[in-house]
Amino acid sequence: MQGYQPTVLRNKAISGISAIDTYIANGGYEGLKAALTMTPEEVGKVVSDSGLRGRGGAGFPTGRKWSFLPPQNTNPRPRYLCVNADESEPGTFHDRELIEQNPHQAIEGILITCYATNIARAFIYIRGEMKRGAVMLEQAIAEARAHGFIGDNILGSGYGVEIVVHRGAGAYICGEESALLESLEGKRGYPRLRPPFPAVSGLYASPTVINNIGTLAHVPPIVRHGADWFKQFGTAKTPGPMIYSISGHIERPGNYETPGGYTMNQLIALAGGVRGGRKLKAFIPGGSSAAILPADQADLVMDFDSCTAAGSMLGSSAVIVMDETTCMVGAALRMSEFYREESCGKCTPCREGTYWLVQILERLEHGEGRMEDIDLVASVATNIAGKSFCLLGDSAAPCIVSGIKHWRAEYEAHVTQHGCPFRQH
Amino acid sequence: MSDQAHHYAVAREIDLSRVREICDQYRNISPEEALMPVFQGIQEEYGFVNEAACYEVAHQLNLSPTQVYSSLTFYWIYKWRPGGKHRLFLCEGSGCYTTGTTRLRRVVEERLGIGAGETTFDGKITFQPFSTCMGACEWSPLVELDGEFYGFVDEARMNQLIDELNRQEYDAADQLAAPGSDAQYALVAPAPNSGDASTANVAQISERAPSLTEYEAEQTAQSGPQPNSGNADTR
Ligand SMILES: Cc1cc2nc3c(=O)[nH]c(=O)nc-3n(C[C@H](O)[C@H](O)[C@H](O)COP(=O)(O)O)c2cc1C
Ligand code: SF4
Ligand code: FES
Repeated sequence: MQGYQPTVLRNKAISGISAIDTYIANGGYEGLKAALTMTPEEVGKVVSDSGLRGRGGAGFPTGRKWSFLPPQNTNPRPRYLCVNADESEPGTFHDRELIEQNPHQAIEGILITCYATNIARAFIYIRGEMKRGAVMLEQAIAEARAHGFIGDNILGSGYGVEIVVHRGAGAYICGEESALLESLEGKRGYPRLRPPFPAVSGLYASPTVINNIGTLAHVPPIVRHGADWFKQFGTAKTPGPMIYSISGHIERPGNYETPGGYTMNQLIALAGGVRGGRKLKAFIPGGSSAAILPADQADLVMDFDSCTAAGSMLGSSAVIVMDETTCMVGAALRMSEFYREESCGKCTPCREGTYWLVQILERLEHGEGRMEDIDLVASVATNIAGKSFCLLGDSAAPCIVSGIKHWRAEYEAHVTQHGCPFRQH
Repeated sequence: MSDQAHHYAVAREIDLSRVREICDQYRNISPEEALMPVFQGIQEEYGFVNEAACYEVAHQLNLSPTQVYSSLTFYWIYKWRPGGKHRLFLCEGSGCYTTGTTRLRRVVEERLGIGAGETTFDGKITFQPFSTCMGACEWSPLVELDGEFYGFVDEARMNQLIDELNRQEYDAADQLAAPGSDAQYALVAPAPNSGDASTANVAQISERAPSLTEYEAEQTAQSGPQPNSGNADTR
């Protein structure tokens, strides 16, 4: 597809689109205007038909999620939209670019979503570290309000929405949807037991929709151009353009919006190849929660189902490239440290398990490990996965299990050589 | 270290009437919802939220002190004790790790003489390495200093950043100290390759590493909207 024009990260093609005038001059808020001429059900149907899947990690069909809201006559409580902008999965940075460079598209998506689901109050939960992003969102919301897109009576339709920016304070777990709700209510970010699901009893026990901010930024072009337009991109099961955050050993790290269906090799070529012309050793398709895949699987099509079939997952589409100088034990150690830090402490397998993962990996990395440690660390990892209260615990295992599966010799070398064979970091 | 950079007051106590004012800004929303913005206000102004402030917030928002305390202690951004005037963060997330952060940590530890989470004893600089990704891996390895991101940091650049801190914080004091006195470099060791540790030598390094805000502006001026155009036209 020559000359593909980005539809979400439009800042790549149009400079200054973060200003509302530029955004409007380039077709901005046309999706909202189109939506207001339809009924909410029609808008929901277009999004369902488009097959849009959540970009926050789980890939859940967005239209279906909205349809889980109980009918208003059976549950008269106020409904809320919570927009997940807590992007903290290591390797992921597309939401930040969207928020800082094309905030109006996110806001337009939120407004259309509220209209389709009959919600009058939306919260954007933005990661505490993204202070600049929060300021820019506030600014964009003020601009949109001045243009009559936010408020009591949007463009004279009689329909009203308020958007509130809520800053987090540094906790990865608050990206998990039920922990996000707890945090919004001013509590510790502990995940909730489900059911009841947020669609029925979410924020302040009211029906709540939770979507990733990047997911919602796909909505305006869908409503404007239709479901069929959207389905011309991507693969059959993951329709639409895909945005990848590519980092690690790559010549030109950054966010890349593709028309979808790209393989890992194509993505590497797109981002200028492996850094320094070195050889690819491994890659992670979806942030540190996904299993590490070896270079010989680089012809993998990067969509939700192919990545899952390959034993990994697309997750937040954060592609981390590792060249031949990367130590797999060191990488697993870093990632385990991350989970140890970010474990909320609510349940034992994750709280204690991640601590032991770090202990064992640390002694392996520093040459004080024993051969048995390799199986020990794998068994601790597999005992966390599936036995934890929420998915954070499960996410701690793949980087270790896949590392040992594909690079066992490297783990063994750490023991036999009494240290890291890659000692340059 | 630009004009917008946020320096924390080196306060040891929190003015409770100021806490009340911050709470007053959020009277129109529910106390639970107000809790986090109130903490943020205090944290940003003082660099920490202590027990006295905690009780005052509970009183003002009509919440139980236990609830306030339990929320406060969950999030790392809220500090219980005052930190340094400058905050130096080093990202050690998976993206940055692959591009090499262990060496950077060594540079900081050697030059500032403090380890992870510690503050220089004069309260000037706090150093915090993070295993949590800062969400800007396209610029990895990444350092955050006083709220500004610095990208593609190598050892030389890390040294430069510390030199700059050195210049800002200790030059004024040096002018008071007798030339050549030991008081000059009590805290920040000279860069290994900057040779003689004279004030003039450090002050000469006026060429500081550009922050990413500046870097972006420069790139935009040079080559259109983005450092790397993500237009997928190579297919
Ligand atoms: C530990 C954990 C962390 C998560 N972090 C994020 C996050 O930072 N941003 C995000 O959008 N979704 C995150 N999610 C996924 C959300 O729980 C949720 O699935 C998503 O926000 C739903 O939005 P979507 O349907 O639009 O993808 C996380 C999930 C887990 C289990
Ligand atoms: S799995 Fe980890 S993050 Fe999730 S509830 Fe348990 S301790 Fe908390
Ligand atoms: S890992 Fe350092 S910014 Fe993402």
